[in-house]
Amino acid sequence: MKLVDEIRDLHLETCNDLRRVHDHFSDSTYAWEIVETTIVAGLTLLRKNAVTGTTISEQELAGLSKEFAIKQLRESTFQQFISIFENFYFDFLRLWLKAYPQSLARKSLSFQSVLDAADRDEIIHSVVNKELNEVMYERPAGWFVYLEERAKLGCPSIQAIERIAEAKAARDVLVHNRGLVGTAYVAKSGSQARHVAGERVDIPEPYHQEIWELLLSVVSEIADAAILKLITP
Amino acid sequence: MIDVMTQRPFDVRYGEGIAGSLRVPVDQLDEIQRVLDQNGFRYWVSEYRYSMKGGPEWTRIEFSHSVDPKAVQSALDQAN
Repeated sequence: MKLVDEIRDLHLETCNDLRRVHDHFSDSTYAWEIVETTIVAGLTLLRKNAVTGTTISEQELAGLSKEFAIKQLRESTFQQFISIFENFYFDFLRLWLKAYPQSLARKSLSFQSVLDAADRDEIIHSVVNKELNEVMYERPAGWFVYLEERAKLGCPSIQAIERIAEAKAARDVLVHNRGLVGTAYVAKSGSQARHVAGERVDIPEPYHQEIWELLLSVVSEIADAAILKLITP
Repeated sequence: MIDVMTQRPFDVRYGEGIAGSLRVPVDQLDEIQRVLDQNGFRYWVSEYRYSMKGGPEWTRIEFSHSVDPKAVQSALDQAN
């Protein structure tokens, strides 16, 4: 398959994934709203979890609706947005570097790796993966410097990169620090920081939506720029 | 203030580590926002609108973590 087609497929798949997760968020939020509204309208219930023996009343369920719909659902889908974007970024670079392996010509490789490889493609695959593993540990600003060095696409904008860096830092706080902001978040977020150390990271609805739109737009921008570059003689 | 959908006073919901939120009939949104603005509460209105069986629409107002939900409740209880 040509690189252009592979990038088109990756772009389409990523946009579909982002839409699917947002639809899940929207539909689930709606379902919880219906639950709460039905309870406010007078529904009573007492449900027992047959496995744990825990029982729940309609009022407790109504309380859970806020916990699940607003906090957990929003945080988990936000984390998925970031993961989908990270997968896009590294899959895109993997395709690009495999198509232009000369850009990694200075990389060293043990002779044993060469002997173990079935063919040239396997050697390239191995070097590209090793390279991307190193990039993965950089901050997002470093990711985009790397992208520009390799592909020279002229995008995304510095402002978009800074916003992605903040979102990634917020995701890291949720995943690694139980939502409690530390100095790492502040340092990673730079001018886009929304919190100071000691606060709980917040994923309000407008922010959740803005980040979704930003990632969708950056994914399209990178894919479009790459395709344009490849098809322009 | 009375919620026209439930005919009960508005109820600000909140929980541990979760900022306050308020379920609001869309028809009463302006009225509610006026009270919130007058009291200087930081909030945002959800872009989502919900409805059941073609009934009246409702949406959700969420408050910043810095806003005390009890103060919002008190302001709404006192508003006419």
